[in-house]
Amino acid sequence: MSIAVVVAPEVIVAGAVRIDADLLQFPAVPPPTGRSAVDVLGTFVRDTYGDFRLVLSADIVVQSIQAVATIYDFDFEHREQLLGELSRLVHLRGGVFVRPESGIQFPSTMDAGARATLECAAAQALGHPRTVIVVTENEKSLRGGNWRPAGIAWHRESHVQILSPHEFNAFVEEVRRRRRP
Amino acid sequence: MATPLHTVSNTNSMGNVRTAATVGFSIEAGDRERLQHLADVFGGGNRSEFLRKAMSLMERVEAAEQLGKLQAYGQSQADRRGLSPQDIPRLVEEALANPNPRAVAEAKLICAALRAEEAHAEPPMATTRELSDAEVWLREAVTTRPR
Repeated sequence: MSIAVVVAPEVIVAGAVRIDADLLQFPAVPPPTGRSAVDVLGTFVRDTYGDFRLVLSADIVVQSIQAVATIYDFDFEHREQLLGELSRLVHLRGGVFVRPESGIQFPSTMDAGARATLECAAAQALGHPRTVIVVTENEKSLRGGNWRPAGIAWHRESHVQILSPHEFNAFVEEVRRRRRP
Repeated sequence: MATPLHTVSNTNSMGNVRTAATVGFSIEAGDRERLQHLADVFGGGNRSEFLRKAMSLMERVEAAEQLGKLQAYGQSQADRRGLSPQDIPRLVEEALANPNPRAVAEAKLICAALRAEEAHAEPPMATTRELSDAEVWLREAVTTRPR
């Protein structure tokens, strides 16, 4: 069984940009680029052993699309394409779009992107016990490390581990080394 | 275009119904040996198994190509605006804290179908279940990582 990975909007937005991306030619799959957010998305294309599946919510995707419009001025067609590519990455590895958990109590300082990300990680549809990795560059979330939601029932064996993109990529490589025949 | 010839249904040991469709396609006579070689190497001699693996690989190639095209567009947009990767987390936080109503409305429009998909998402695993060996190992590895 693979581990669910929830990717935060700021990582998706940063991963939507890649130098020399158009040099990628058939039959290549994206090699590690050294840009951590890009490599996070690349994991769901490369992942040879199927250890990780991408889990997103509509809220995360809406926030990501809203942000690429505001920050990069993506036109409508490319915003639609971003949805298409995220859907492809989700379904390529047996991931899923889940309805976020709505009853979690957050500190008032928690911003919208972090809330959407953690609500997705706590979604009922992921079952219990669960192991979920949250990949985020949000410093407020990163302080959590090993996060447990407040205000909802939560299985004691369920785990949500918050990693930066760099930490996640290092972990993926570690898993790959362990799994290599 | 391949034409389905017939469909076979049976039940596996888990009680799940499997449906396999037989499709016909042609290859050059000289390619038969190549096909069988690849089926031997990648499909344990089973051409259907080889085809499943080949399709999975080609789906990854397609995903890589399409994602690459989108990222190339993204890079051109970022260059036009003089943005660097280090700027992005702060800009995203600002964009979500002070949302542009039109950008929000259009994003919701683009994602309208996702609400239905997430509402009907089947749990990818039983609500109560045993962790697989691999998942236990992965969980221990990730939770004991030095930060």
